[in-house]
Amino acid sequence: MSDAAAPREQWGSRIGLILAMAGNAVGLGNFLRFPRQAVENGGGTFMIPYFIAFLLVGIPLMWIEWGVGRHGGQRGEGSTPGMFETLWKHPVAKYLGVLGLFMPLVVLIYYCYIESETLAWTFFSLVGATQGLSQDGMRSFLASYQDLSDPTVHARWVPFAFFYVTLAVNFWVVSKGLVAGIERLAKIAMPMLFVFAAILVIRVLTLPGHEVIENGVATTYTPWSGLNFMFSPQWDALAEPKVWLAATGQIFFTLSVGMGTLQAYASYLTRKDDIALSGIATAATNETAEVVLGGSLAIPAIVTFFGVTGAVAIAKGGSFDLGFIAMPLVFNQLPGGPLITTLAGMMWFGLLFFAGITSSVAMATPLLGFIEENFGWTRKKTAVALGVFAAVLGSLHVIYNARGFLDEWDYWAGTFGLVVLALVETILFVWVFGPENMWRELHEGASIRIPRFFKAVMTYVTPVFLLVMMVWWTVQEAVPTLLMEGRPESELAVRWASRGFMVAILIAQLFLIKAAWARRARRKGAA
Amino acid sequence: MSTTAIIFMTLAWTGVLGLMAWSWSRLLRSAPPDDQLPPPGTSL
Repeated sequence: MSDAAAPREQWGSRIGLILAMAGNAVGLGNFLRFPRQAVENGGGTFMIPYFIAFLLVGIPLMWIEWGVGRHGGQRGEGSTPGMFETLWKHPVAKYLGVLGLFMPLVVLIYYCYIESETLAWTFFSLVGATQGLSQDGMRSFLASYQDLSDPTVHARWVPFAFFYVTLAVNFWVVSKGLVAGIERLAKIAMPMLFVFAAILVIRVLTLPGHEVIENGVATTYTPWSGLNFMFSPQWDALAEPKVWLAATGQIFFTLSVGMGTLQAYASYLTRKDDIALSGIATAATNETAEVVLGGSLAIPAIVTFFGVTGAVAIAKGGSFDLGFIAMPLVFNQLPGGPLITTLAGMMWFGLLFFAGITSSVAMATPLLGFIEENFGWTRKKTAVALGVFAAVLGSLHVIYNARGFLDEWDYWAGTFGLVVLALVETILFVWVFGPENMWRELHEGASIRIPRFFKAVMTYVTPVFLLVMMVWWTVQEAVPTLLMEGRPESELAVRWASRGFMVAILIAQLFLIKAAWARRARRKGAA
Repeated sequence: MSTTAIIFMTLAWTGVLGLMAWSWSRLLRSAPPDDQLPPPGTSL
């Protein structure tokens, strides 16, 4: 147990907790990654493996992480090193928990940079900076922001300024504490996100038809053509393993499992608090934001103005092309003039910013909790120290983003690492802690009884699913990524340096865990 | 929209909206006292 002197904080209300948890899960991926994945992986058919993965991996992992978190929190542990030790009394357990400190910190740093772009584009929408730009103009506008060697549109200090402001807001929120900071933010940001998204969905779905020339033929597209394109099944896609893995991967990212953040939030629950129903409510809220709102925004809007061929080309260009190039172009063409363009742009990037910040404050929580509880630092002091650290390392993302610095962190910590942590915690909670203990833990204070079917799923199906996913990703992606296959020579040095920083963070955190446990032993000896 | 696309979209939307409505209604019914609204007519 940690040696924190002060009692642990608790959530102010159940609604606040669920909104904070849902805020953690609802991120940029709900509005940018999901529609792209659906379009690229079989349209309507994608929904079949997507919902199967939701049932067999998403919901079970949600419960596992809530369970691991509350179980650890009851024993004074707010982060995975201590939580894992409460499940497995072995000296190695705490070091396995480093994953739950490493991933959220690494992802937090680069995620705040991406989040700062949504803040920047909210501002650019307000001042009308993107109004009247052509597709090439919009692309140059984004490229100049993301590549400091190209100051043709933006001065070099601009991305730094938005990044530091974003970091300052994030760490100001977390420095306020759980209830006054994170919970209050969730209670404001989540309703606003849903309102902005709902207004935009209504606007998009009521757009008039638009004539698009494709291969010399004029075709009239409507938003419903976009929905048709997104939900029309391509049955042969079901036979492709990559579609199933893409769907499982999307469930993983969208629910923010395997990150260490859900566990950290759940550690502030009490034994009488429900986790069974709350876990479902969190997952369902996230899925509504993703499938209903996220699925009805970007693709229908883009198909209306660019046609199916244009939308496919944009989707293949990646999430940034979708959100930061195509959507502003759509807003420029909305009926109603510059005022509507400004409002739509502000709502779109505003909702992305809210989706981002409610996730990034969650990523700061595990390490904050770990340092507070193990080294006796105050929350403010920890927040300032972590904020400065994030500003220094994050500046490297601003400087070297165009040369693959961010991509490396995104792959190893933000993609591959999530599956590793999820697999480790599933094995510890279900197998080492024991299926009966796990089941009992999930039902402490529960408002509902979880169907018994899920006990078997969590014991056998979820770990196998995760293992298959990890092996597949290792063979298909991790090895080629590690060997930097297909990477231009000019990026190699930056990418290796990027990996070096990650390894340094991991080693530093392992030493922090060692120091924390040495401190605990000393205090225990002195007592 | 094609019929199959409408079916897929309807099923997906109904599934997630239904799950959200069910879970939130259960949650609000079983919410601890500090989350529940005061009875009508209560002076705030």
